Amino acid sequence: MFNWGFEIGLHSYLAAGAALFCLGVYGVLTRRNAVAILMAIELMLNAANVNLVAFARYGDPTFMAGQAFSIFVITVAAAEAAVGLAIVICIYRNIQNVNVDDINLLKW
Amino acid sequence: MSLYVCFLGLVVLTIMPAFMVVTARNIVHAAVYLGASFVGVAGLYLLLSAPFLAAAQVLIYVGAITVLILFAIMLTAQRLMREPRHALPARILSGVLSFGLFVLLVWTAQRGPWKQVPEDQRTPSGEYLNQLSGSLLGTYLLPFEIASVLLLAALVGAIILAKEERED
Repeated sequence: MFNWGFEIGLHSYLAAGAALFCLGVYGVLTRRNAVAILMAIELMLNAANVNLVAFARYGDPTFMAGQAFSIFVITVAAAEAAVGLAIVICIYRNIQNVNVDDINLLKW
Repeated sequence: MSLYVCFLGLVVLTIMPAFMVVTARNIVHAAVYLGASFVGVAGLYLLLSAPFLAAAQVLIYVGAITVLILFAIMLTAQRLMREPRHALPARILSGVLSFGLFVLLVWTAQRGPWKQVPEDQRTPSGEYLNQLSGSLLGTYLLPFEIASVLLLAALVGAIILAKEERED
């Protein structure tokens, strides 16, 4: 059933993407610094891109749909990083801290 | 076989720094490891015959986003280079959860009925850039334009958010 031989196929890239994604999930769950959480989110976006390009390589005769889509993902990730880091800097200016446990202004 | 060695090396180059990103206590080290992990992903793109994406990955992620993150660290975390950790049970629970997700994903990827196109029915990669630019500015023209507007809006928004407010 499992195909672990010396053969690189779609499943190998999907497994690599899954490992990257789960490391990102672990980072989001365990880190407390807001910048570190943003870094973990970037890892997860990269994992999604690896999957898209792998499907484009193995499942699409023209290669292109997945690659074009991952270019859009990279674009949105760049916008997300810029805005997220600006928000973190803004929060730091207000409460001198970027620990997400202390950012609870809207909580109570 | 050499492809296999290449793939394994690139996966190690991607996963080991990614592991260090989520576990390193020093956040500056984590940011540098993040850059290394992005380089590994760019190598995976090369193996997947997507050289334009590999170049974009190196330019945007390694060149821009890592540096942006380093700037944000320098601007925010002077006192807090070693961040406090969660309690050990919480970390173990998170580890078990994400490892369970990993097993589930790999199991699905192994069993899934993915439609695969045989090697000889694929377009040769000589026309690669023509096809990519054609699909970006042809089939996907509307998302392309929307993405450019999104980038502009994000740029303006980031500047306004991060700008120092002076009351005078």
